[in-house]
This record gives sequence, structure tokens and C-alpha cells, in this order.
Amino acid sequence: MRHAYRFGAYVVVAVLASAGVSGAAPQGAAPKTLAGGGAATVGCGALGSATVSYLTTNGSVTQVSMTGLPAGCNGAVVGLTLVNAVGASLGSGGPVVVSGGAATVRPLTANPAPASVTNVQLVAIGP
Amino acid sequence: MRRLAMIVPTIAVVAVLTTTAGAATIVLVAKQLTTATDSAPVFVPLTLSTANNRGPAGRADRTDTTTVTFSEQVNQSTLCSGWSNASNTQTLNTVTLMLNDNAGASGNDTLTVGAVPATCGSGFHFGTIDTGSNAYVTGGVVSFTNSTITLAQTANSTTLVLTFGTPSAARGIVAAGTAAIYTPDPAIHDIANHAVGTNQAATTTTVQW
Repeated sequence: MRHAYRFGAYVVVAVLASAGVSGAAPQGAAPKTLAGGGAATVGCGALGSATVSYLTTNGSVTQVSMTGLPAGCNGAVVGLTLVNAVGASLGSGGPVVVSGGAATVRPLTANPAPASVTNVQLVAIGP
Repeated sequence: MRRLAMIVPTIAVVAVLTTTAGAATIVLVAKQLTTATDSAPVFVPLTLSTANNRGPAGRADRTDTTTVTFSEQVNQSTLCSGWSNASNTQTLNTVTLMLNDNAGASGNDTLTVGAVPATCGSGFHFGTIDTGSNAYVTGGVVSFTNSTITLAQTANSTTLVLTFGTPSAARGIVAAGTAAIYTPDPAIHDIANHAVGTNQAATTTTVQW
């Protein structure tokens, strides 16, 4: 996911530089055609309908499994963040590929106690 | 995650700016981006542990124990129909615990609760422990008669202790395995009626008892 973000940032930087919109002096490039590739971004399905379950070890969450993911999300990569009541991250994991409507995320960046986790934020990219 | 959510809208803005400037051809390939927030599980098994109280380590013997803790007060009748939440402690004697040879989905031996006293009616809704090895028993089920199950509750936890009774046959000695994993019976609920669902607990040890 972090890599995906970086990729997006690199695209932005490259485009700004080539278009000269960053305030730099024109580099003498001849105008060219822009072909917009902006396909509408629609979700792969209702991730909110997924069932989230834990594997705990010694009182801490060490693995998170998701089942009941929409069929349209098969082949997507999914990541998650465990958050507390004020939305602060307590640990995250992924990306992993969704297969058969399920995905299992392990390891996590941190292993919180289940009682401290209020919500699980899911992000799927693709398929 | 929040950073990811910024990718698509940012790219869209760049496309407009570039069009105005008449820059080089750019092809943007968009992927579907889906986000959601799900509620976290509330009632889960927190810990699974075993203790060796007799015989060599790695062999299930009489008085060896298996302990499970839950994150909330269990509705006791969902374990044993004759139990009431009015008491914070319970004890079942004359229980039969069973080590089942290679019965797990992984081919490992499993630990389950067999016969229980009539107070539990249709049985004891414990679930299954994958022991992490296929060598605790070989050649069939080993039953431990006169085993016990005890329950103790606090305001926000429940502890179950299963103590092996008399084994029906010889057992193996496991020198190396993997963590044991407890899968609760889905019938188990807490006192707020949260189902335990498909949550599991694992041991920190790879050799049990």
C-alpha cells in the first residue's frame, strides 16, 4: 500500500514537471495531445458486509481474517487498519490478494488487545 | 490507508491541469478503489495455553491442563445448558476429554470435549483445539475419563480450564510442533449476546502439555 501511494506521488510529480505547472520556466517542449485515461473509479463491492475475525496470541491480535467479501473484490489487493474509538491506528497489515471472497492479513505492524480496537478500516485496490 | 484514498482524486486534478497546458500525452490507468469501515469483533477468545503437571513435556497426561480465556463474560448456558450466570464459578466432573488422531483439517490431532454430566443436556459447547502436531496420539482416539472443566469469571473475562483425567491408551511424546489453535463452538455467546464467531486463539508454545 505504501508502495502504491508512492507510485501515485511519482505520477503526480512527473505530470506536474512535464506540464510546467509548478512555476518553472517552460522547457521548450512542443504542445502535445493529452489523452485522458480517467476511468471512473467504482468500488469492487460492499466491503462493509465482510465479517472480520481475529486470531489472538497471548491476548493480542496477531492475524485478521475477512470473509464474505464481495465476489467483485476477488483479485483485488486489500489492506486494513485497526483503529480505536477516536480513529487512531493501532496496527495495520496487508496488502493481500482477495480470493474466494476471503483474505487473511498477517503480520500486523502492531498487535493490539482486542478490547482496544473499535473498528477495522478496509481498503481494496482493483481488481 | 488514508494515504491511499488520496491517490485517485489527486490524479484527476493533474489531468485537468495538464490539458490546459497542452502537455505531452498521458495515459492514466485507474484501478477501483474501495474503502469501508467494519466493526471490530467484541467477544473473542484471548489466550490459549497448556501446562505440564505430570509426565514428560509433550505428552498429554492426567492432571495436565488446557486453559482458554475469553474477552468478556460468557453466557454460561451457551457452554453448558445447566449453568447459570448467577455464579462466577462452575465445575464439571466426570467429563471425557478426547484427543482425536489426525482429526484436524491440517491433519493434526485435535482436543475436544466428549461426554459430560447430564447437567449439560445436549453436551458441552467448547469447540476444537488443533494441537499443532499429529503425534500426541496415534492409532485412534484417546479418551480421558474423569476429566474436569472449571469456569471462573470476572467482570470482563472468562477462564475455562480443562484438566485431563485417566487416559484410555498410550500417548506419544511430541518434541516439536506448531502453535495449537482454539476454534470455539459458534454457539458460545457473551452475556451481551455477542457471538464468538470465527475468532480463534493460539498458544505461544509449539509443544503442549
